[in-house]
Amino acid sequence: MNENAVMLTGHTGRDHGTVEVVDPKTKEKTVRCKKFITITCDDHEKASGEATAGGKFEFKFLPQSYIVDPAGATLADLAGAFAKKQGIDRLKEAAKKLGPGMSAAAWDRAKSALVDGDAALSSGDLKKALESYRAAGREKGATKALEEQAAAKVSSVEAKGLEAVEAAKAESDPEAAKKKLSQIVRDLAGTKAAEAAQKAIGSLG
Amino acid sequence: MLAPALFGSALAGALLAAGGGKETPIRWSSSWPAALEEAKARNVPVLVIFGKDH
Repeated sequence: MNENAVMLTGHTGRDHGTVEVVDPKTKEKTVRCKKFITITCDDHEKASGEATAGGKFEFKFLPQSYIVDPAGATLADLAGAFAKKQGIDRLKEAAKKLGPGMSAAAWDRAKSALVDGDAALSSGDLKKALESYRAAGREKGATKALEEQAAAKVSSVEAKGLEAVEAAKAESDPEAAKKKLSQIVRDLAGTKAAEAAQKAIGSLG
Repeated sequence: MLAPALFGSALAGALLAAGGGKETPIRWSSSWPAALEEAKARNVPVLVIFGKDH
């Protein structure tokens, strides 16, 4: 299901019970809604308010479902409990209108790469940050929005790289400066920072 | 509760089967903004299901 669409439930009521979920990576324990296991009861109650705020959706009876585009505009109105085929057909029509989309698995990998890149950038590991952001942008089926997001993050690495070039040029020892600049050329290949570093090495003779 | 129950089992399974994939638990988005953000990034529609406990 998530391969074809993003799923959101605006569900009021908290009688579902809870279940403890353990993150396989971090081993962190969290309490989730027993019915909608990836979220909490707070989440689905809050989503109901958010999704209906400002009169975005007007309905009198529940259940009521909608298929919306990424801007939130309604593409299909599905009243009550509708037949499977109807739902499938409506989702297919919506996907066709939107054009090629990215699978959930590819999106998860891209998102993970962006998170890794952010962590690397924060810790000053520009090489790893650049690799992670580029990997996100190259993920299979990457949309223009994702490519732009990844490119913006690559630019932020580039900016840090240019700062590093200036810092290296300020070194009093030319050999130490060359060493640092050469590292930047290797780590940030294909960026303006690497170009600037290469140029600075040339100037040092 | 009728619609989520329907989508959470029968329809979801049918959709995945139609796509040739295996059924996996539905991953619900945590909020309206998060759903739209992911939809925009992936260029896919959002299925919004409103329901309530009876």
